[in-house]
Amino acid sequence: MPWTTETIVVASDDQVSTVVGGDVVILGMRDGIYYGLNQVGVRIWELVRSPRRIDDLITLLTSEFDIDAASCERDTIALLGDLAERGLVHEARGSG
Amino acid sequence: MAVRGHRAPDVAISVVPSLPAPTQPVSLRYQTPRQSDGSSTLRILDDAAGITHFVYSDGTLIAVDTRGVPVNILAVIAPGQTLDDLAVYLVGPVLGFVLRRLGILALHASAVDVSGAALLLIGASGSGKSTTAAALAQRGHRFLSDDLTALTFGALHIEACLAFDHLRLWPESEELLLGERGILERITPSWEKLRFTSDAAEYPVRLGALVLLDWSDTAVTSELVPPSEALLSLAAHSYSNYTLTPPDKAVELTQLGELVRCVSTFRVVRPRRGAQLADFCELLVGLAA
Repeated sequence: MPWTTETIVVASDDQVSTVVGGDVVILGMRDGIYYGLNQVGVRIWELVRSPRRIDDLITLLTSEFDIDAASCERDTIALLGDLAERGLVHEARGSG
Repeated sequence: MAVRGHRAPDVAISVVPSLPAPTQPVSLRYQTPRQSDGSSTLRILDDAAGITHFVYSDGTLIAVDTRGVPVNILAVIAPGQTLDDLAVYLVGPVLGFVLRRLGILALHASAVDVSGAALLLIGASGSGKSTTAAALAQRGHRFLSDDLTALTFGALHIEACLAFDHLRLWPESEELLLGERGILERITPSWEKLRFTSDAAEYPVRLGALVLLDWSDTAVTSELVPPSEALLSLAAHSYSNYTLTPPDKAVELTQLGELVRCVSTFRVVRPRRGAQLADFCELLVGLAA
């Protein structure tokens, strides 16, 4: 089922990451591939290290960055979907 | 014989007529892309006893046991080949594999000591690592390693380790650097690469700069690479990365993160023509400082 703003997401255990120069580099342990995140992506990654509802993420991001809610929701869900496809985040069932 | 001041060896290599059969079952760790006849140049297999087997299509067989100290290597020279041919495999893919199994970061890089700071010349095969190192050696800078550079992480700084007593050049590089061909000797009769000797460094040297080599037909340029981008590029050029397991890669991520936090990375574009080699070397010397 596609994720909505009510979905709770969390970083997967199948990854390790490090912060360098303000960016995040994530290693997917499932595929052994490195991924890079910058700017807003770094903040999203920081926030989903513990379970978060997507609408909470959007509220925080729109207060911290110069971005409107509609664009933020679309881009955040898209990014989280990409990360989920690579096994880096997943839905935290029963956490909320 | 014990030599005073020298510690016990880390690696013991024995050249043997044949290898014991791998303990079954055997799993494939890596193989090079298949050729048109369906064969692979190299297959790396792990047997059930924990020994890793390098099986080359030319008949070279190498069994690596990293379970204890020293690392024990048994090697069979391929029919018609020499110890020098075997050594090419041992100081390349096999050494790289052993280093990475031991948790030592190694990069696809040549290293040169520029006034007490190691310059790491990083790139894929054919990117000009050895040629550039030789060009710097011609200008009085001692080289530390060729093609494979191991790094040690100390409390104060990261050092490039010493390796090899020569650089390996293609004939085109011989012509570029020495003005003509036929001066240098081949490393082995069956391989085109040539042995370039020069003063080698005598001690490990702290890292000064990391250089990602690139080609162009234009002038020499350099740019500072942001740390996260540098990390991703270095991961692509870490030695023997195709043999790493996910836990090994997690160690690598930590090491690369520390590396790019401590040392600046530059992308340097160099000309294909030799005419600008002097400018190129001058720029590199400046980066090391």
